[in-house]
Amino acid sequence: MPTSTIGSTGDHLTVAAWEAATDNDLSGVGIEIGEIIEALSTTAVLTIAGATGLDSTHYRELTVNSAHRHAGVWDTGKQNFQVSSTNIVITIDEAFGRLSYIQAKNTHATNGGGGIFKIGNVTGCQINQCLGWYTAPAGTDDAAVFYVNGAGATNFVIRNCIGYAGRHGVYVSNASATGGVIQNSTFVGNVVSGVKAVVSVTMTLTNVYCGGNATRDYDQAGSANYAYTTVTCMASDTNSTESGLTNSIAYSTSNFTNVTAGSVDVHLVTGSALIDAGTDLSGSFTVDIDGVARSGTWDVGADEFVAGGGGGTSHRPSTRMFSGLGR
Amino acid sequence: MPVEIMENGAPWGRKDVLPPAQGGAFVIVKIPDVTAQQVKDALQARWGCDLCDEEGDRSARRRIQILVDNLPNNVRNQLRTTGSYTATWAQVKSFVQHIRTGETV
Repeated sequence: MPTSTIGSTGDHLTVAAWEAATDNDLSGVGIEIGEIIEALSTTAVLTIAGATGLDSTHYRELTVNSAHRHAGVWDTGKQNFQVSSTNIVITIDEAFGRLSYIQAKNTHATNGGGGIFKIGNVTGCQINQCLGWYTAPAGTDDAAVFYVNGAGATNFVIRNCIGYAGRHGVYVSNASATGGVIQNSTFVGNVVSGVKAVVSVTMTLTNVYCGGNATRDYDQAGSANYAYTTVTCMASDTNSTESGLTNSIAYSTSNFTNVTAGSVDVHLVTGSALIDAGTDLSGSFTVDIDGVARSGTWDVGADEFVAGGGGGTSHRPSTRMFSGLGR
Repeated sequence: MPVEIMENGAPWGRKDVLPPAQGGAFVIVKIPDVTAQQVKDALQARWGCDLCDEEGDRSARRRIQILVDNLPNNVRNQLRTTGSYTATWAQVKSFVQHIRTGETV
């Protein structure tokens, strides 16, 4: 499993150099990892494409070392992509490609295009522990934070992710993009929808929270009646009748640390309705967006709440420190 | 196919500077008489596209190439063995071509 480091003291200075150097035949290589090792701020869009010999054990992954990962909140002191573009910030255009622990923002100020993360017409891609923030106006449907595009975009995974202020949190644009899963993710404050899919997309959403999205939280072809599957999902909307979905879970500080636009922090607070309301997915993964272990009854959304007290410390990276004093 | 345009003194990565003769994937062409922005602006003005994926179109990068076969032998040999070559912009730009039209900068 070769790993190349990316940064001013790494194997490659930029993510573009890593991508260009590793778009090779991976059939004899395995998993080619590019690890960002500093608070690298990338201001150009990136397309991961061109490698061959790909399958579930031969692929490329762009990730960030633990010291420079975001902690579930936008942080310019950590690795980040900050782009002003009518194009997608990061596109995965090869099968089984992965992103993990990436935070990315698109700040262009005009309508039209320009989402954050895109899975192209390729199968088996994963986006894990990524945070996307889009500060532009309504735009077009591909101005989603997570955009899944193409009939071949099957069996995708979006897991432990946060997306806000895009046109949609997630937009799946092709009915043939079957088999996708969206798990333990939070999509809030988007201009139209939290999760939107075109007609007949079949995918499974588990432990997803959508709230504060202007038109509706869960959408299929412009309707609140959707064919995809929701399991222990939650919404701030009040009127959905879909199974596996709990309505009227407020996008507010009763559930989250901060819901003010521009300062969003979707870490859960004490007493949040999302706590212990999810389904155990430990057969697939065991941590949350900032690497905290999920235990007991799982929470809904990207963050797993960790209470303070009793024999240890729990660190809420962006907001508070709890000491083990048994409170 | 150019991948990055950086200012003089950029801290290229260990693998970025590895010469092709030692298995490296890149060569570095040093052009000290112009800035990185001047080169980007020249390409933008000439062909209306950004070299380094800032337009988000991977094919744009592939449309602009330095055709190695057109380089003088001494330049090719130095790039292969040392991984870098220093030239002026006037010398370099005549080898920067639009792959479809054959136009140079």
